[in-house]
Amino acid sequence: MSKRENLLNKKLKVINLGIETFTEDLKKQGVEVVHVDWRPPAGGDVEILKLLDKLEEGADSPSRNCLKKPTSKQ
Amino acid sequence: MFEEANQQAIEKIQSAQPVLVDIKPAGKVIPRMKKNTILQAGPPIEWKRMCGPLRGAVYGALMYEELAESPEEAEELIKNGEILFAPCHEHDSVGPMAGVISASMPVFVIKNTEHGNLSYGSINEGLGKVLRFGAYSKEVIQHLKWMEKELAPSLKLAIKRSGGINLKTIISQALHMGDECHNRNVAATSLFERQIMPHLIEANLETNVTSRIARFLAENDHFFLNLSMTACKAMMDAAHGIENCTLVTAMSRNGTEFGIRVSGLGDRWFTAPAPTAKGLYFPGYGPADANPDLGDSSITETRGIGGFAMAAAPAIVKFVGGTPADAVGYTKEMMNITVSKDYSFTIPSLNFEGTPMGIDVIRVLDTGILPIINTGIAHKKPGIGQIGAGIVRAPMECFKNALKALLKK
Repeated sequence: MSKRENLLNKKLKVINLGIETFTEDLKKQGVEVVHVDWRPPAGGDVEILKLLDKLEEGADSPSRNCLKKPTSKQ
Repeated sequence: MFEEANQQAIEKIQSAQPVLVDIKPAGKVIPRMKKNTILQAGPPIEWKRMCGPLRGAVYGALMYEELAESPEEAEELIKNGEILFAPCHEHDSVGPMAGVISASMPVFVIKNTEHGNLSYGSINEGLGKVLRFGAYSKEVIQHLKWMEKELAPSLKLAIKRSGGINLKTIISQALHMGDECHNRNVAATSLFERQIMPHLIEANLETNVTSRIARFLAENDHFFLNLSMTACKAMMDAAHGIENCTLVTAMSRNGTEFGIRVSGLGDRWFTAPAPTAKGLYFPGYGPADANPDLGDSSITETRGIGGFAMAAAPAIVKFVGGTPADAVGYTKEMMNITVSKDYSFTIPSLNFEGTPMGIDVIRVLDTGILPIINTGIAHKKPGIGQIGAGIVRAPMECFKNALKALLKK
């Protein structure tokens, strides 16, 4: 049995990143799911990411520590 | 580098003590205010780009000052370059919605007794047809004259007798009573009245004067809004001008543009088009009637109350939309873009956790989470007034431009 088939034949445990409605839908189907409230850095804006990288190169920027932790709404 | 500067700013904001010490005519107390100066909410803007409600408020202020007898005469003065427009924020002041302050208008004087700086704010006119929403009818002007001639001198006497009223204490207590002190000020207004009323009565004014003032205060749930804003201004100005500080010290809107100021970037504004609030409309009105966001009142969110403290005010969702769970979610979300939590302003339902304080430009950009603001919605035409209330987010562009300026330093 391939790994993929193996996965689908077992009870699923899901970690959902980002969009919360996926978690709710899985919960409704009785799937064990943990939600992580994550968003792409800078909301996915490439220009902002480049600017933040420049700032990081020029100086220590401890404010950017927030990149390392998931965001929270709960 | 940034962290140290930001911490210094947080200490200043946290230790600030805004105390209401006086009421004086704007022209006699606000720095660099002249007879022909009109202060306005938000970042700088010239007449031709001003929105309807702001234009209406300017007409009203010029008629109130008896510089013009009609909107046409007011426009003539403006076009001849005889009126100086400037943002309230650049004159240590704040005003809700149009935010218009002219020289004869009485303003609250608030002293930050910890750091010595002063801030000034207009007195809330009440609801209905009011200047701050761009109304300029005869009744609006008459009401402003009553505020100047009777309300302000009487409150001034009471404030003097009180020896000063600490507004931070009132805000702190009101957050425990269901207010967020931007769009909900029911508790804070009541607490203020409880403090001022004995002094007002002991001032021995004519009974009918005391009665009119007591009624005016009792009938206006938002009276404290202008005090909340001016107190927040005094607290945030204490943290402005700190080298390398990336914290936002003002967010404000003039109905055309949204602007922010950053502590370490001097007096520059970083602007973007003002967004329109999403929320609930009064019967008969809808989004097509709404003016883009307006007012200096987002100084409350800059300080960490208002939308940032929505978890303290579950009932506000009946006014701005959403559910009490959303209100908690907003407060928690804002903790991702702030560098500290307040120990003076706490939220009972969150185990007395402090409100999120110190919006960091870098965190906003890193997370893509934009500051949330509770706001009133003005009709886009002058004179109609408030048509709803809702929630708005500060535009990303302001923060992007601030970061560009930080990189150039």
